[in-house]
Amino acid sequence: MQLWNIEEEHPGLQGSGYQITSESTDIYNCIAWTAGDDTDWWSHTPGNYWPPTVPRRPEVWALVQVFETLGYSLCDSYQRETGYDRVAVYAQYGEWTHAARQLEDGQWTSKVGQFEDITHPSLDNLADEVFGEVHCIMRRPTRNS
Amino acid sequence: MQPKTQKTEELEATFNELAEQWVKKTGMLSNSASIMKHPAYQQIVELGEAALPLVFRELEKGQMAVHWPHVLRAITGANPEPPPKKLPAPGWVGLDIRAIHKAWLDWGREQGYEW
Repeated sequence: MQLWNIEEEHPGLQGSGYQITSESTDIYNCIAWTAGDDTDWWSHTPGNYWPPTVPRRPEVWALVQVFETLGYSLCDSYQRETGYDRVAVYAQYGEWTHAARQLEDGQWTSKVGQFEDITHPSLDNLADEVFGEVHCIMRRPTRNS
Repeated sequence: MQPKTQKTEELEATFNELAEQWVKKTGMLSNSASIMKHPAYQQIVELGEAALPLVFRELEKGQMAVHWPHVLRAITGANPEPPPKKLPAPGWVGLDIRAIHKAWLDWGREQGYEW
């Protein structure tokens, strides 16, 4: 049974050219996906993974600290920058709601709660009543493997 | 398995409706605190011990995999979950959701619940 319609929940995706890129799974969430982990559900709540050095707080600054532990720092530019990995942090009423990671082609990849991963052209596609607004962009030098 | 009485059928219907609402209304969220603030979560917890076999059944199905343990902790006050596993990065630990599920299902059987 299909319990939800992604475009109903996120009307900014309508006509955007977004693509669903995975099966639905609730093993990991958007924070984990943005951090490069597809094995855990990252949340400040007890019983979920959260980096041990970051306070388990719902405020968006705590999520910013999570990405700082991964080497990211705040930046001003919304444009793609060669040589940097970039992530976006969303918040509503001062609390974190979502995160997305920029792909090499400038689009963004998001895991939508316990549903699918998607690729979307713009951060605005998910700025809505569910996820609130983009709070900040963070970047770190790309690590060559 | 025990034969279903009218009372257990009513409980099951209520539980199924709440569980569906909970998934539908919070499935797009990542912040577990927001997921647990939803009224359907609170109502499921308020169903209490009688709802445990239904929760174990959902846990076995795998949907809302990461969230049913929150319900179980809230209803039972127990926590049979294994300690977090260590990750390669220094100081980092992670959760093994499959091991957490198994621990809860084993606990449920040990306590005599059937589902």
